Amino acid sequence: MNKIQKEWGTLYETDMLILGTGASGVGAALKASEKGCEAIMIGKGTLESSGSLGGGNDHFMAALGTDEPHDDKETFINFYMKSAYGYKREQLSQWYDAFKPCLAVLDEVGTEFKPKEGGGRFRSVGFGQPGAWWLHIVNGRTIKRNLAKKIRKLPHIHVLDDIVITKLFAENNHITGCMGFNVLTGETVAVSCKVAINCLGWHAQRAGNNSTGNPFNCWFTPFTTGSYFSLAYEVGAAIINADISGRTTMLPKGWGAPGMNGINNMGGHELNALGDRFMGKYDPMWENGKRRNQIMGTEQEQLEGYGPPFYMDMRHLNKEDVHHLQYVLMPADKETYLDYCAARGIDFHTTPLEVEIGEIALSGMLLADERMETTVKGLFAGCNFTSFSGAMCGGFIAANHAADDAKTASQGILDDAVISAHKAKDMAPLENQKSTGLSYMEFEGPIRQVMDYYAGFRRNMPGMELALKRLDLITAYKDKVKAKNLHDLMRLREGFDLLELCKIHLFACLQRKETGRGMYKLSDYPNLDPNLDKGLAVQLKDGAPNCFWIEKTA
Amino acid sequence: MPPVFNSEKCVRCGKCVKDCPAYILALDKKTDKTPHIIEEYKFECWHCGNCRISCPSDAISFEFPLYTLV
Repeated sequence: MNKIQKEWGTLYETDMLILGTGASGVGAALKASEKGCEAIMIGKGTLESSGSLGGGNDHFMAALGTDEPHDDKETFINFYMKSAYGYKREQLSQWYDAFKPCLAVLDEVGTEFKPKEGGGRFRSVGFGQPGAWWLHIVNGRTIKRNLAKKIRKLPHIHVLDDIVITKLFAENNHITGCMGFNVLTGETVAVSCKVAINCLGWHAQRAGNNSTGNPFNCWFTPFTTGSYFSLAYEVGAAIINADISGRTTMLPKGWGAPGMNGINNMGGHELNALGDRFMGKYDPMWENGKRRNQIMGTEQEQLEGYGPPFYMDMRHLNKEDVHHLQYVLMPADKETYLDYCAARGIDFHTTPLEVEIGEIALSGMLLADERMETTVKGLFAGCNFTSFSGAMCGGFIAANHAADDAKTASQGILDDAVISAHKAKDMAPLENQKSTGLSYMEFEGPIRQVMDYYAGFRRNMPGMELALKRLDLITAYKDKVKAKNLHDLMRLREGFDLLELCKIHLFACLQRKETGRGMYKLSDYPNLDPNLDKGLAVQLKDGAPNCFWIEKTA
Repeated sequence: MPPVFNSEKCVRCGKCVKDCPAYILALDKKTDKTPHIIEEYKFECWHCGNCRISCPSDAISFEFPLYTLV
């Protein structure tokens, strides 16, 4: 790694650039180091606490090829080939192959898994999957710190904490580097690279509100707002499934937290206000089926007046399971879960947990080939797989290919004049102190206003067309924003990423004239169209969004 | 509002400030007895608990905002 002082800030040169320091970035760093590839990890926050994994995680999904039912590679691949567009069998095969080495690292750093009676690790079924693939993590709250301790000692790996990435660079459709600013010092930082792994997180929050009206009180970390997509899209990466990957979950009432997978897969029952268990109407696997069906089913009950309130009832489970859920899994997923329970007087043993439908989070994938390389050469997708397992393994396998390519790829050349110009643009809100300037909340609040109003669980095409126009209006205000400090500047940047992803999402939704694959219903196209059993990609061409369909592969 | 710092237990190491992914905690070691949440950004607290996980002296507890309790 070279560090060069420039008039505009600091330039680093490395072979591999790892964008983001969450679970996916960790996976990428592990593989890069193993292959002897010089890499820089760069991202917001500190490695010890950044990303969705920072505050903990309670599950790691892994089919392990044992003699347990449906635990083989073929079943695993077939499940995901059916559940999402844009995957390739070779990608999923590599994900499966990465389970064991990633689990070995988790073991090495002291991760404790719930043991199974008679030996081995306990696993449960989740998300309508055929096999029991979900390992339960007992000490999930410290995983990220334990992994960080290892990463910081790895040879060839350098970590740049506290950097807000504002731009990627590409030349002739090949990635050359990135730039951003240090949120504590304001220093501009740029990294030139031979290859890059995008590990910025596919689960974008703050696109909508739950019942509390606080966008930061959301399902997953509120500090991921879509840069995985917006930055890559800007340099030419195609995005797939932006239309149908919007997702949400049931939240503990009033509190943004993950954890429903544990409750569902341990056998929790969802009840409506009348005390009726209703999910059998919406999914043959009841609560433990597809999460989309749980949300759409609950929403339907709500429309018909059978709730709120809704509850998850665990009283029928055996005492040991209930205790495991409340006192092991939940705090492993979110460290403050027991504080929330205490504040609301919640005890899973004696009272059902009141829940609500959470806000819609936007997502999708970067269109990638068998080697996880995106449509931008040298830029690899590290966050195309789901959950902690998908993130860590995704970074791991992307780095495997990227490290190979780094041996022959040329060093990216970054233009000082271009960086200086972008720096001036990035920092401009700090110079704007006009009373008419928009603060970050005044800028991003209207994005949620549009999305909640026109793009909720029930929508229509004219409404989404109008929503897109309203987002264009918000875009016109990007040069009217102001920041009084670097914290505000960071939040503005997050708002810009969010705005871009919302526009991509709506543009894609307007092409898909059917109901049934996304987490919303279209009143003007209420039926599933069998001809649309394919993925939709969006890519920037000549400054405008362009879409194309991806046929489903066997 | 969350998090709440116990000034008797706090050793003022600043780890909570460093590891807060929201950048909403502050500690001026010259003047502050304990870290504090920056008032205007307290709504950005996600209750992730990273501050408490990092705290070596068990000095952090949580008080939940009213909007999470209704």
